[in-house]
Amino acid sequence: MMRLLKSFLKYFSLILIIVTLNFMLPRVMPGDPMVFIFGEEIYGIAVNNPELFAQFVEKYGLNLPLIEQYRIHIINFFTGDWGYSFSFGRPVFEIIAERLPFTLLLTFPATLMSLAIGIAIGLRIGWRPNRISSRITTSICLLIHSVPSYWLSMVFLLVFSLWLRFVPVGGAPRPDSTLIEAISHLILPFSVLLLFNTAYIAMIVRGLTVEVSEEEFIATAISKGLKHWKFSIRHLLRPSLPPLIFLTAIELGFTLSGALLVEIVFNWPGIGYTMLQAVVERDYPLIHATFTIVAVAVITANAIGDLLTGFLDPRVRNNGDIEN
Amino acid sequence: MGTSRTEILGFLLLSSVFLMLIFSFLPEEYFGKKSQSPYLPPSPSNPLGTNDIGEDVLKNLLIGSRASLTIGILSALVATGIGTLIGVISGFFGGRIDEFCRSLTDLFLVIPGLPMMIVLAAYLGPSYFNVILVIGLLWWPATARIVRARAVQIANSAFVEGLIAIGAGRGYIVIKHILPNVYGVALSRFVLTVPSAIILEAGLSFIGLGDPRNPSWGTALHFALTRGALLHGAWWTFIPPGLCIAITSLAFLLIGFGIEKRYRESVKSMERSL
Repeated sequence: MMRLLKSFLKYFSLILIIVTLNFMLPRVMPGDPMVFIFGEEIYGIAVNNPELFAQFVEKYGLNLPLIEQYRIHIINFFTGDWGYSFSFGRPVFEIIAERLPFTLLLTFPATLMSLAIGIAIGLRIGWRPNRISSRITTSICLLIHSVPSYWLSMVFLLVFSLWLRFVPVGGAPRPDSTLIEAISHLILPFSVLLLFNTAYIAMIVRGLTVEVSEEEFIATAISKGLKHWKFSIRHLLRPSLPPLIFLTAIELGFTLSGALLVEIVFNWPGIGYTMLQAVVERDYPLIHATFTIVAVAVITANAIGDLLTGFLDPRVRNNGDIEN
Repeated sequence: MGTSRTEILGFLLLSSVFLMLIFSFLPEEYFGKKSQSPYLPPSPSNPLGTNDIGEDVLKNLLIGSRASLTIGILSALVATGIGTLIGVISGFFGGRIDEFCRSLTDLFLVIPGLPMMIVLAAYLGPSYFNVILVIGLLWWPATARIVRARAVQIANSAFVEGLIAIGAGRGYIVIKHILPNVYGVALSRFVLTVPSAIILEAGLSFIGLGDPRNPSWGTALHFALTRGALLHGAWWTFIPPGLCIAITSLAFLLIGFGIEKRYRESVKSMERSL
Protein backbone atom coordinates (compact mmCIF):
# COMPACT_ATOMS: atom_id res chain seq x y z
CA MET A 1 0.00 0.00 0.00
CA MET A 2 2.81 2.37 0.92
CA ARG A 3 4.49 1.49 -2.35
CA LEU A 4 1.40 2.29 -4.35
CA LEU A 5 1.05 5.65 -2.66
CA LYS A 6 4.72 6.41 -3.22
CA SER A 7 4.63 5.60 -6.90
CA PHE A 8 1.40 7.54 -7.34
CA LEU A 9 3.04 10.56 -5.73
CA LYS A 10 6.06 10.17 -7.98
CA TYR A 11 4.06 10.13 -11.19
CA PHE A 12 1.74 12.87 -10.04
CA SER A 13 4.68 15.14 -9.29
CA LEU A 14 6.08 14.30 -12.72
CA ILE A 15 2.91 15.61 -14.33
CA LEU A 16 3.12 18.70 -12.14
CA ILE A 17 6.69 19.25 -13.33
CA ILE A 18 5.56 19.11 -16.96
CA VAL A 19 2.75 21.57 -16.25
CA THR A 20 5.15 23.86 -14.40
CA LEU A 21 7.57 23.74 -17.31
CA ASN A 22 4.77 24.78 -19.64
CA PHE A 23 4.06 27.68 -17.32
CA MET A 24 7.66 28.78 -17.00
CA LEU A 25 8.96 28.56 -20.56
CA PRO A 26 7.04 31.49 -22.08
CA ARG A 27 7.75 33.58 -19.00
CA VAL A 28 11.51 33.04 -18.68
CA MET A 29 12.21 33.50 -22.39
CA PRO A 30 13.26 36.99 -23.44
CA GLY A 31 10.40 39.10 -24.74
CA ASP A 32 6.78 39.54 -23.76
CA PRO A 33 5.20 36.20 -22.77
CA MET A 34 2.10 37.34 -24.63
CA VAL A 35 3.92 36.84 -27.93
CA PHE A 36 4.12 33.15 -27.12
CA ILE A 37 0.50 32.98 -26.04
CA PHE A 38 -1.12 34.82 -28.96
CA GLY A 39 1.44 34.50 -31.74
CA GLU A 40 3.31 37.35 -33.42
CA GLU A 41 0.45 38.40 -35.65
CA ILE A 42 -2.27 38.87 -33.07
CA TYR A 43 0.26 40.33 -30.65
CA GLY A 44 1.23 42.87 -33.29
CA ILE A 45 -2.37 43.95 -33.72
CA ALA A 46 -3.00 44.04 -29.99
CA VAL A 47 0.06 46.18 -29.23
CA ASN A 48 -1.27 48.98 -31.45
CA ASN A 49 -4.66 48.82 -29.81
CA PRO A 50 -4.31 49.55 -26.07
CA GLU A 51 -7.92 48.72 -25.32
CA LEU A 52 -7.71 45.28 -26.89
CA PHE A 53 -4.35 44.73 -25.24
CA ALA A 54 -5.75 45.50 -21.80
CA GLN A 55 -8.62 43.14 -22.53
CA PHE A 56 -6.20 40.32 -23.38
CA VAL A 57 -4.10 40.98 -20.31
CA GLU A 58 -7.23 40.90 -18.20
CA LYS A 59 -8.61 37.74 -19.80
CA TYR A 60 -5.38 35.74 -19.43
CA GLY A 61 -4.68 37.10 -15.97
CA LEU A 62 -1.25 38.36 -17.00
CA ASN A 63 -1.55 41.36 -14.68
CA LEU A 64 -1.92 39.13 -11.62
CA PRO A 65 1.02 38.20 -9.39
CA LEU A 66 3.00 35.21 -10.72
CA ILE A 67 1.93 32.85 -7.98
CA GLU A 68 -1.72 33.58 -8.73
CA GLN A 69 -1.07 33.04 -12.46
CA TYR A 70 0.53 29.71 -11.60
CA ARG A 71 -2.49 28.65 -9.56
CA ILE A 72 -4.82 29.50 -12.43
CA HIS A 73 -2.53 27.68 -14.87
CA ILE A 74 -2.66 24.47 -12.85
CA ILE A 75 -6.41 24.64 -12.35
CA ASN A 76 -6.83 25.24 -16.09
CA PHE A 77 -4.68 22.24 -16.91
CA PHE A 78 -6.76 19.85 -14.85
CA THR A 79 -10.06 21.28 -16.10
CA GLY A 80 -9.06 20.86 -19.73
CA ASP A 81 -8.44 24.53 -20.53
CA TRP A 82 -5.08 24.24 -22.29
CA GLY A 83 -5.14 27.59 -24.05
CA TYR A 84 -6.15 28.76 -27.49
CA SER A 85 -4.43 27.80 -30.72
CA PHE A 86 -4.16 30.92 -32.84
CA SER A 87 -3.21 29.03 -36.00
CA PHE A 88 -6.26 26.78 -35.81
CA GLY A 89 -8.49 29.38 -34.21
CA ARG A 90 -9.79 26.79 -31.78
CA PRO A 91 -9.18 25.72 -28.17
CA VAL A 92 -6.06 23.55 -28.00
CA PHE A 93 -7.73 20.83 -25.97
CA GLU A 94 -10.35 20.29 -28.68
CA ILE A 95 -7.68 19.77 -31.33
CA ILE A 96 -5.78 17.31 -29.15
CA ALA A 97 -8.92 15.38 -28.25
CA GLU A 98 -9.77 15.12 -31.93
CA ARG A 99 -6.34 13.88 -33.01
CA LEU A 100 -5.20 11.71 -30.13
CA PRO A 101 -7.39 8.75 -31.22
CA PHE A 102 -5.52 8.64 -34.55
CA THR A 103 -2.17 8.34 -32.80
CA LEU A 104 -3.50 5.70 -30.42
CA LEU A 105 -5.04 3.76 -33.30
CA LEU A 106 -1.58 3.58 -34.83
CA THR A 107 0.65 3.02 -31.81
CA PHE A 108 -1.43 0.81 -29.55
CA PRO A 109 -1.85 -2.24 -31.81
CA ALA A 110 1.71 -1.82 -33.09
CA THR A 111 3.10 -1.80 -29.57
CA LEU A 112 1.12 -4.85 -28.44
CA MET A 113 1.97 -6.88 -31.51
CA SER A 114 5.62 -5.97 -31.42
CA LEU A 115 5.78 -6.98 -27.76
CA ALA A 116 4.56 -10.47 -28.61
CA ILE A 117 6.77 -10.92 -31.67
CA GLY A 118 9.76 -9.16 -30.09
CA ILE A 119 9.71 -11.36 -26.99
CA ALA A 120 9.46 -14.54 -29.08
CA ILE A 121 12.36 -13.51 -31.31
CA GLY A 122 14.41 -12.22 -28.39
CA LEU A 123 14.08 -15.48 -26.45
CA ARG A 124 15.13 -17.47 -29.49
CA ILE A 125 18.19 -15.46 -30.40
CA GLY A 126 19.17 -14.87 -26.78
CA TRP A 127 19.12 -18.55 -25.88
CA ARG A 128 21.55 -19.51 -28.65
CA PRO A 129 23.24 -16.20 -29.51
CA ASN A 130 26.04 -17.77 -31.53
CA ARG A 131 23.91 -19.63 -34.04
CA ILE A 132 24.09 -18.32 -37.58
CA SER A 133 20.33 -17.62 -37.64
CA SER A 134 20.56 -15.72 -34.34
CA ARG A 135 23.45 -13.67 -35.61
CA ILE A 136 21.62 -12.74 -38.78
CA THR A 137 18.50 -11.76 -36.83
CA THR A 138 20.60 -9.69 -34.44
CA SER A 139 22.25 -7.88 -37.34
CA ILE A 140 18.89 -7.11 -38.90
CA CYS A 141 17.65 -5.69 -35.60
CA LEU A 142 20.79 -3.59 -35.30
CA LEU A 143 20.36 -2.33 -38.83
CA ILE A 144 16.76 -1.29 -38.16
CA HIS A 145 17.94 0.40 -35.01
CA SER A 146 20.37 2.64 -36.88
CA VAL A 147 17.88 3.83 -39.52
CA PRO A 148 15.62 6.82 -38.79
CA SER A 149 12.02 5.60 -38.72
CA TYR A 150 10.70 8.50 -40.79
CA TRP A 151 13.28 7.83 -43.49
CA LEU A 152 12.15 4.22 -43.75
CA SER A 153 8.60 5.58 -43.96
CA MET A 154 9.62 7.71 -46.93
CA VAL A 155 11.19 4.69 -48.61
CA PHE A 156 8.07 2.59 -47.96
CA LEU A 157 5.89 5.35 -49.36
CA LEU A 158 8.07 5.56 -52.47
CA VAL A 159 8.09 1.83 -53.09
CA PHE A 160 4.57 0.76 -52.12
CA SER A 161 2.55 3.87 -53.00
CA LEU A 162 4.38 5.58 -55.82
CA TRP A 163 6.04 2.68 -57.61
CA LEU A 164 3.86 -0.34 -56.91
CA ARG A 165 0.65 1.64 -56.25
CA PHE A 166 -0.56 -0.87 -53.67
CA VAL A 167 -1.82 1.73 -51.20
CA PRO A 168 -2.79 5.44 -51.22
CA VAL A 169 -0.06 8.01 -50.72
CA GLY A 170 -1.12 9.01 -47.22
CA GLY A 171 -3.79 10.55 -45.10
CA ALA A 172 -6.27 8.90 -42.81
CA PRO A 173 -9.40 6.92 -43.58
CA ARG A 174 -12.62 8.95 -43.60
CA PRO A 175 -15.55 7.89 -41.43
CA ASP A 176 -17.38 6.56 -44.51
CA SER A 177 -14.50 4.54 -45.95
CA THR A 178 -14.68 0.76 -46.04
CA LEU A 179 -12.55 -1.51 -43.90
CA ILE A 180 -10.25 -2.32 -46.81
CA GLU A 181 -9.70 1.37 -47.48
CA ALA A 182 -9.02 2.02 -43.82
CA ILE A 183 -6.49 -0.79 -43.71
CA SER A 184 -4.80 0.44 -46.88
CA HIS A 185 -4.22 3.80 -45.18
CA LEU A 186 -3.05 2.23 -41.96
CA ILE A 187 -0.83 -0.56 -43.21
CA LEU A 188 2.34 1.37 -44.12
CA PRO A 189 2.77 3.48 -40.97
CA PHE A 190 1.74 0.45 -38.94
CA SER A 191 4.39 -1.76 -40.54
CA VAL A 192 7.12 0.82 -39.97
CA LEU A 193 6.24 1.11 -36.28
CA LEU A 194 5.90 -2.65 -35.92
CA LEU A 195 9.32 -3.19 -37.47
CA PHE A 196 11.03 -0.64 -35.23
CA ASN A 197 9.39 -1.68 -31.97
CA THR A 198 9.88 -5.37 -32.63
CA ALA A 199 13.58 -4.86 -33.34
CA TYR A 200 13.97 -2.85 -30.17
CA ILE A 201 12.13 -5.29 -27.91
CA ALA A 202 13.88 -8.29 -29.45
CA MET A 203 17.24 -6.67 -28.64
CA ILE A 204 16.24 -6.02 -25.01
CA VAL A 205 14.90 -9.55 -24.52
CA ARG A 206 18.00 -10.98 -26.18
CA GLY A 207 20.27 -9.14 -23.75
CA LEU A 208 18.24 -10.17 -20.72
CA THR A 209 18.04 -13.79 -21.89
CA VAL A 210 21.78 -14.04 -22.48
CA GLU A 211 22.29 -12.83 -18.92
CA VAL A 212 19.71 -15.17 -17.40
CA SER A 213 20.93 -18.23 -19.30
CA GLU A 214 24.23 -18.06 -17.43
CA GLU A 215 22.43 -18.60 -14.13
CA GLU A 216 22.61 -21.95 -12.37
CA PHE A 217 18.88 -22.60 -12.19
CA ILE A 218 18.88 -22.78 -15.96
CA ALA A 219 21.32 -25.69 -15.88
CA THR A 220 19.07 -27.34 -13.31
CA ALA A 221 16.02 -26.87 -15.49
CA ILE A 222 17.80 -28.37 -18.47
CA SER A 223 18.96 -31.36 -16.50
CA LYS A 224 15.40 -31.88 -15.33
CA GLY A 225 14.51 -32.26 -19.00
CA LEU A 226 11.94 -29.50 -19.35
CA LYS A 227 10.24 -29.02 -22.69
CA HIS A 228 11.55 -26.14 -24.70
CA TRP A 229 8.57 -23.76 -24.70
CA LYS A 230 7.78 -24.40 -21.07
CA PHE A 231 11.36 -23.80 -20.20
CA SER A 232 11.52 -20.58 -22.21
CA ILE A 233 8.55 -19.02 -20.56
CA ARG A 234 9.10 -20.16 -17.02
CA HIS A 235 12.83 -19.94 -16.69
CA LEU A 236 14.05 -17.56 -19.34
CA LEU A 237 11.26 -15.03 -19.59
CA ARG A 238 9.95 -14.83 -16.06
CA PRO A 239 13.13 -13.58 -14.35
CA SER A 240 13.57 -11.02 -17.13
CA LEU A 241 10.04 -9.66 -16.89
CA PRO A 242 10.53 -6.84 -14.34
CA PRO A 243 13.42 -5.20 -16.21
CA LEU A 244 11.61 -5.87 -19.49
CA ILE A 245 8.50 -4.05 -18.30
CA PHE A 246 10.62 -1.21 -16.98
CA LEU A 247 12.53 -0.85 -20.25
CA THR A 248 9.39 -1.20 -22.36
CA ALA A 249 7.61 1.52 -20.43
CA ILE A 250 10.58 3.84 -20.84
CA GLU A 251 10.83 2.89 -24.45
CA LEU A 252 7.24 3.83 -25.04
CA GLY A 253 8.36 7.42 -24.95
CA PHE A 254 10.78 6.65 -27.71
CA THR A 255 8.15 4.70 -29.64
CA LEU A 256 5.67 7.54 -29.42
CA SER A 257 8.31 10.02 -30.52
CA GLY A 258 9.10 7.79 -33.47
CA ALA A 259 5.40 7.53 -34.28
CA LEU A 260 5.15 11.31 -34.28
CA LEU A 261 7.70 11.56 -37.06
CA VAL A 262 6.24 8.63 -39.00
CA GLU A 263 2.82 10.31 -38.91
CA ILE A 264 4.30 13.37 -40.58
CA VAL A 265 5.51 11.37 -43.58
CA PHE A 266 2.15 9.66 -44.07
CA ASN A 267 0.04 12.77 -43.39
CA TRP A 268 -1.60 10.78 -40.63
CA PRO A 269 -3.64 13.37 -38.70
CA GLY A 270 -2.45 12.41 -35.22
CA ILE A 271 -0.46 14.19 -32.55
CA GLY A 272 2.80 14.11 -34.52
CA TYR A 273 1.32 15.76 -37.56
CA THR A 274 -0.28 18.35 -35.28
CA MET A 275 3.12 18.96 -33.71
CA LEU A 276 4.62 19.68 -37.13
CA GLN A 277 1.81 22.12 -37.96
CA ALA A 278 2.31 23.80 -34.59
CA VAL A 279 6.08 24.09 -35.10
CA VAL A 280 5.69 25.50 -38.61
CA GLU A 281 3.25 28.15 -37.33
CA ARG A 282 5.22 28.65 -34.11
CA ASP A 283 1.90 28.06 -32.35
CA TYR A 284 3.32 27.75 -28.84
CA PRO A 285 0.14 26.77 -26.95
CA LEU A 286 -0.31 23.90 -29.40
CA ILE A 287 3.38 22.88 -29.21
CA HIS A 288 3.04 22.72 -25.44
CA ALA A 289 -0.13 20.70 -25.69
CA THR A 290 1.34 18.07 -28.02
CA PHE A 291 4.33 17.70 -25.71
CA THR A 292 2.09 17.51 -22.66
CA ILE A 293 -0.20 14.84 -24.06
CA VAL A 294 2.75 12.65 -25.10
CA ALA A 295 4.34 13.15 -21.69
CA VAL A 296 1.12 12.28 -19.89
CA ALA A 297 0.78 9.12 -22.02
CA VAL A 298 4.33 8.04 -21.26
CA ILE A 299 3.99 8.80 -17.55
CA THR A 300 0.78 6.77 -17.42
CA ALA A 301 2.51 3.86 -19.17
CA ASN A 302 5.31 4.02 -16.63
CA ALA A 303 2.87 4.04 -13.76
CA ILE A 304 1.13 0.96 -15.17
CA GLY A 305 4.53 -0.68 -15.67
CA ASP A 306 5.37 0.04 -12.05
CA LEU A 307 2.12 -1.54 -10.90
CA LEU A 308 2.73 -4.63 -13.05
CA THR A 309 6.27 -5.03 -11.74
CA GLY A 310 4.97 -4.92 -8.20
CA PHE A 311 2.43 -7.56 -9.10
CA LEU A 312 4.93 -9.86 -10.81
CA ASP A 313 8.01 -9.57 -8.63
CA PRO A 314 7.53 -11.16 -5.20
CA ARG A 315 10.51 -9.23 -3.84
CA VAL A 316 8.81 -5.93 -4.62
CA ARG A 317 5.41 -7.22 -3.51
CA ASN A 318 6.70 -8.02 -0.05
CA ASN A 319 9.46 -5.58 0.75
CA GLY A 320 8.45 -2.44 -1.01
CA ASP A 321 11.43 -1.78 -3.25
CA ILE A 322 14.14 -3.64 -5.11
CA GLU A 323 17.56 -2.67 -3.89
CA ASN A 324 19.90 -2.46 -6.81
CA MET B 1 40.83 -10.37 -26.87
CA GLY B 2 41.59 -8.89 -30.25
CA THR B 3 39.46 -6.55 -32.25
CA SER B 4 36.39 -8.43 -33.39
CA ARG B 5 35.18 -8.56 -36.97
CA THR B 6 32.16 -6.42 -36.18
CA GLU B 7 34.42 -3.74 -34.76
CA ILE B 8 36.57 -3.78 -37.89
CA LEU B 9 33.40 -3.35 -39.94
CA GLY B 10 32.46 -0.46 -37.67
CA PHE B 11 35.80 1.23 -38.18
CA LEU B 12 35.59 0.74 -41.95
CA LEU B 13 32.14 2.32 -42.06
CA LEU B 14 33.27 5.15 -39.83
CA SER B 15 36.33 5.91 -41.94
CA SER B 16 34.15 6.09 -45.05
CA VAL B 17 32.00 8.67 -43.26
CA PHE B 18 35.05 10.68 -42.26
CA LEU B 19 36.25 10.49 -45.85
CA MET B 20 32.98 12.21 -46.78
CA LEU B 21 33.73 14.88 -44.22
CA ILE B 22 37.16 15.48 -45.78
CA PHE B 23 35.76 15.55 -49.32
CA SER B 24 33.22 18.18 -48.25
CA PHE B 25 36.10 20.68 -48.07
CA LEU B 26 37.04 20.20 -51.75
CA PRO B 27 36.87 23.40 -53.78
CA GLU B 28 33.66 24.24 -55.60
CA GLU B 29 34.74 23.16 -59.11
CA TYR B 30 35.03 19.49 -58.14
CA PHE B 31 31.30 19.24 -57.57
CA GLY B 32 28.48 18.96 -60.09
CA LYS B 33 27.22 22.34 -61.25
CA LYS B 34 24.01 23.91 -60.11
CA SER B 35 21.59 23.19 -62.91
CA GLN B 36 18.63 25.18 -64.16
CA SER B 37 16.15 22.32 -64.02
CA PRO B 38 15.07 20.68 -60.78
CA TYR B 39 14.96 16.94 -60.04
CA LEU B 40 17.52 15.82 -62.62
CA PRO B 41 18.07 12.10 -62.12
CA PRO B 42 21.63 10.86 -61.48
CA SER B 43 23.92 11.47 -64.46
CA PRO B 44 27.69 11.79 -65.06
CA SER B 45 27.60 15.55 -64.42
CA ASN B 46 25.51 15.20 -61.22
CA PRO B 47 26.33 11.73 -59.84
CA LEU B 48 23.38 11.80 -57.44
CA GLY B 49 21.12 14.07 -59.45
CA THR B 50 19.79 17.44 -58.41
CA ASN B 51 17.18 18.53 -55.89
CA ASP B 52 14.14 20.79 -56.10
CA ILE B 53 16.19 23.95 -56.69
CA GLY B 54 18.72 22.30 -59.00
CA GLU B 55 21.48 21.88 -56.41
CA ASP B 56 23.86 18.95 -56.73
CA VAL B 57 22.67 16.30 -54.26
CA LEU B 58 26.14 14.80 -53.79
CA LYS B 59 27.55 18.16 -52.78
CA ASN B 60 24.77 18.71 -50.22
CA LEU B 61 25.30 15.20 -48.96
CA LEU B 62 29.02 15.78 -48.35
CA ILE B 63 28.40 19.14 -46.69
CA GLY B 64 25.63 17.59 -44.58
CA SER B 65 28.17 15.27 -42.99
CA ARG B 66 29.72 18.27 -41.23
CA ALA B 67 26.66 19.28 -39.23
CA SER B 68 25.48 15.72 -38.61
CA LEU B 69 28.85 14.51 -37.32
CA THR B 70 29.83 17.55 -35.26
CA ILE B 71 26.41 17.95 -33.65
CA GLY B 72 26.21 14.19 -33.05
CA ILE B 73 29.65 13.98 -31.45
CA LEU B 74 29.50 17.23 -29.47
CA SER B 75 26.06 16.62 -28.02
CA ALA B 76 27.01 13.04 -27.14
CA LEU B 77 30.05 14.50 -25.39
CA VAL B 78 27.89 16.90 -23.38
CA ALA B 79 25.37 14.16 -22.56
CA THR B 80 28.04 11.65 -21.51
CA GLY B 81 29.81 14.31 -19.45
CA ILE B 82 26.68 15.18 -17.51
CA GLY B 83 25.72 11.51 -17.13
CA THR B 84 29.16 10.50 -15.87
CA LEU B 85 29.33 13.39 -13.44
CA ILE B 86 25.91 12.65 -11.97
CA GLY B 87 26.57 8.90 -11.94
CA VAL B 88 29.89 9.23 -10.10
CA ILE B 89 28.57 11.74 -7.56
CA SER B 90 25.50 9.60 -6.98
CA GLY B 91 27.38 6.32 -6.70
CA PHE B 92 30.30 7.50 -4.63
CA PHE B 93 28.67 9.80 -2.12
CA GLY B 94 25.53 7.73 -1.52
CA GLY B 95 22.89 8.72 1.03
CA ARG B 96 20.76 11.79 0.39
CA ILE B 97 22.84 12.91 -2.58
CA ASP B 98 22.40 9.52 -4.20
CA GLU B 99 18.68 9.59 -3.59
CA PHE B 100 18.38 13.05 -5.11
CA CYS B 101 20.47 12.15 -8.18
CA ARG B 102 18.51 8.96 -8.72
CA SER B 103 15.16 10.72 -8.58
CA LEU B 104 16.50 13.30 -11.02
CA THR B 105 17.68 10.55 -13.36
CA ASP B 106 14.37 8.68 -13.15
CA LEU B 107 12.56 11.90 -13.89
CA PHE B 108 14.53 12.65 -17.03
CA LEU B 109 14.25 9.02 -18.07
CA VAL B 110 10.46 9.18 -18.09
CA ILE B 111 9.98 12.55 -19.81
CA PRO B 112 9.76 11.80 -23.54
CA GLY B 113 12.96 13.17 -25.06
CA LEU B 114 12.10 14.19 -28.59
CA PRO B 115 8.87 16.13 -27.85
CA MET B 116 10.67 17.90 -25.00
CA MET B 117 13.52 18.80 -27.34
CA ILE B 118 11.04 20.09 -29.89
CA VAL B 119 9.47 22.41 -27.30
CA LEU B 120 12.85 23.72 -26.16
CA ALA B 121 14.19 24.10 -29.68
CA ALA B 122 11.02 25.95 -30.72
CA TYR B 123 11.68 28.52 -27.99
CA LEU B 124 15.45 28.76 -28.31
CA GLY B 125 15.35 29.07 -32.08
CA PRO B 126 17.24 27.03 -34.63
CA SER B 127 20.98 27.25 -34.17
CA TYR B 128 23.91 24.89 -34.06
CA PHE B 129 24.66 25.61 -30.44
CA ASN B 130 21.05 25.27 -29.28
CA VAL B 131 20.62 21.87 -30.91
CA ILE B 132 23.75 20.58 -29.15
CA LEU B 133 22.59 22.06 -25.88
CA VAL B 134 19.09 20.62 -26.12
CA ILE B 135 20.26 17.09 -26.99
CA GLY B 136 23.10 17.18 -24.46
CA LEU B 137 20.91 18.36 -21.60
CA LEU B 138 18.27 15.71 -22.16
CA TRP B 139 20.09 12.55 -23.24
CA TRP B 140 22.21 11.71 -20.19
CA PRO B 141 19.99 9.58 -17.84
CA ALA B 142 20.91 6.16 -19.25
CA THR B 143 24.60 6.98 -18.87
CA ALA B 144 24.08 8.23 -15.33
CA ARG B 145 22.39 4.96 -14.34
CA ILE B 146 25.09 2.76 -15.77
CA VAL B 147 27.99 4.85 -14.45
CA ARG B 148 26.34 4.97 -11.03
CA ALA B 149 26.10 1.17 -10.85
CA ARG B 150 29.83 0.90 -11.60
CA ALA B 151 30.75 3.71 -9.19
CA VAL B 152 28.84 2.01 -6.37
CA GLN B 153 30.74 -1.20 -7.07
CA ILE B 154 34.09 0.57 -6.85
CA ALA B 155 33.14 2.71 -3.87
CA ASN B 156 32.30 -0.45 -1.94
CA SER B 157 35.42 -2.35 -3.00
CA ALA B 158 38.19 -3.29 -0.59
CA PHE B 159 40.80 -1.01 -2.12
CA VAL B 160 38.67 2.11 -1.68
CA GLU B 161 38.03 1.08 1.89
CA GLY B 162 41.78 0.77 2.28
CA LEU B 163 42.29 4.21 0.78
CA ILE B 164 39.80 5.72 3.20
CA ALA B 165 41.57 3.89 6.04
CA ILE B 166 44.93 5.42 5.19
CA GLY B 167 43.24 8.83 5.13
CA ALA B 168 42.81 9.62 1.44
CA GLY B 169 40.49 12.56 0.74
CA ARG B 170 37.23 12.09 -1.11
CA GLY B 171 38.22 14.32 -4.02
CA TYR B 172 41.46 12.41 -4.38
CA ILE B 173 39.68 9.06 -4.45
CA VAL B 174 37.15 10.27 -7.01
CA ILE B 175 39.74 11.73 -9.36
CA LYS B 176 42.48 9.15 -8.97
CA HIS B 177 40.48 5.96 -8.53
CA ILE B 178 36.79 6.24 -9.35
CA LEU B 179 37.04 8.19 -12.59
CA PRO B 180 39.72 5.94 -14.17
CA ASN B 181 37.58 2.95 -13.26
CA VAL B 182 34.39 4.27 -14.80
CA TYR B 183 36.26 5.49 -17.86
CA GLY B 184 35.50 2.27 -19.78
CA VAL B 185 31.74 2.50 -19.20
CA ALA B 186 31.72 6.19 -19.94
CA LEU B 187 33.62 5.67 -23.19
CA SER B 188 31.27 2.93 -24.38
CA ARG B 189 28.31 5.09 -23.41
CA PHE B 190 29.74 8.01 -25.35
CA VAL B 191 30.22 5.94 -28.49
CA LEU B 192 26.70 4.52 -28.12
CA THR B 193 25.18 7.96 -27.53
CA VAL B 194 26.58 9.40 -30.78
CA PRO B 195 24.15 7.45 -33.02
CA SER B 196 21.17 8.49 -30.86
CA ALA B 197 22.34 12.09 -31.03
CA ILE B 198 22.76 11.94 -34.81
CA ILE B 199 19.29 10.46 -35.25
CA LEU B 200 17.82 13.01 -32.81
CA GLU B 201 19.46 15.90 -34.62
CA ALA B 202 18.13 14.54 -37.89
CA GLY B 203 14.68 14.32 -36.29
CA LEU B 204 14.81 17.94 -35.13
CA SER B 205 15.98 19.10 -38.55
CA PHE B 206 13.36 16.90 -40.18
CA ILE B 207 10.64 18.80 -38.29
CA GLY B 208 12.28 22.04 -39.38
CA LEU B 209 14.06 23.02 -36.16
CA GLY B 210 17.61 22.52 -37.41
CA ASP B 211 20.10 25.28 -38.13
CA PRO B 212 19.31 26.43 -41.68
CA ARG B 213 22.82 27.85 -42.15
CA ASN B 214 24.41 24.48 -41.35
CA PRO B 215 22.27 21.95 -43.22
CA SER B 216 22.58 18.36 -42.04
CA TRP B 217 21.33 15.10 -43.49
CA GLY B 218 18.10 15.64 -41.56
CA THR B 219 17.66 19.00 -43.31
CA ALA B 220 17.86 17.25 -46.69
CA LEU B 221 15.10 14.87 -45.58
CA HIS B 222 13.04 17.84 -44.36
CA PHE B 223 13.21 19.53 -47.74
CA ALA B 224 12.57 16.28 -49.60
CA LEU B 225 9.32 15.92 -47.68
CA THR B 226 8.10 19.50 -47.47
CA ARG B 227 9.08 20.59 -50.98
CA GLY B 228 7.59 17.53 -52.62
CA ALA B 229 10.63 15.56 -53.79
CA LEU B 230 9.06 12.49 -52.23
CA LEU B 231 5.79 12.80 -54.09
CA HIS B 232 7.73 13.66 -57.23
CA GLY B 233 9.42 10.27 -56.89
CA ALA B 234 12.87 11.90 -56.80
CA TRP B 235 14.36 9.11 -54.70
CA TRP B 236 17.94 10.34 -55.23
CA THR B 237 17.25 13.36 -53.03
CA PHE B 238 16.30 11.45 -49.90
CA ILE B 239 17.64 7.88 -50.12
CA PRO B 240 21.34 8.92 -49.83
CA PRO B 241 21.01 11.16 -46.73
CA GLY B 242 19.05 8.44 -44.91
CA LEU B 243 21.64 5.84 -45.86
CA CYS B 244 24.40 8.13 -44.57
CA ILE B 245 22.61 8.48 -41.22
CA ALA B 246 22.17 4.70 -41.07
CA ILE B 247 25.82 3.98 -41.95
CA THR B 248 27.13 6.47 -39.43
CA SER B 249 24.97 5.28 -36.57
CA LEU B 250 25.65 1.64 -37.41
CA ALA B 251 29.38 2.35 -37.35
CA PHE B 252 29.20 3.91 -33.90
CA LEU B 253 26.89 1.15 -32.62
CA LEU B 254 29.25 -1.62 -33.77
CA ILE B 255 32.29 0.06 -32.24
CA GLY B 256 30.39 0.90 -29.07
CA PHE B 257 29.16 -2.67 -28.56
CA GLY B 258 32.72 -3.89 -29.08
CA ILE B 259 34.08 -1.55 -26.43
CA GLU B 260 31.26 -2.46 -24.07
CA LYS B 261 31.86 -6.19 -24.48
CA ARG B 262 35.60 -5.93 -23.99
CA TYR B 263 35.11 -3.76 -20.95
CA ARG B 264 32.64 -6.22 -19.42
CA GLU B 265 35.08 -9.08 -19.97
CA SER B 266 37.92 -7.18 -18.37
CA VAL B 267 35.78 -6.34 -15.34
CA LYS B 268 34.81 -10.00 -15.07
CA SER B 269 38.39 -11.25 -15.23
CA MET B 270 39.41 -8.63 -12.69
CA GLU B 271 36.70 -9.82 -10.32
CA ARG B 272 37.81 -13.41 -10.79
CA SER B 273 41.42 -12.59 -9.96
CA LEU B 274 40.46 -10.79 -6.77
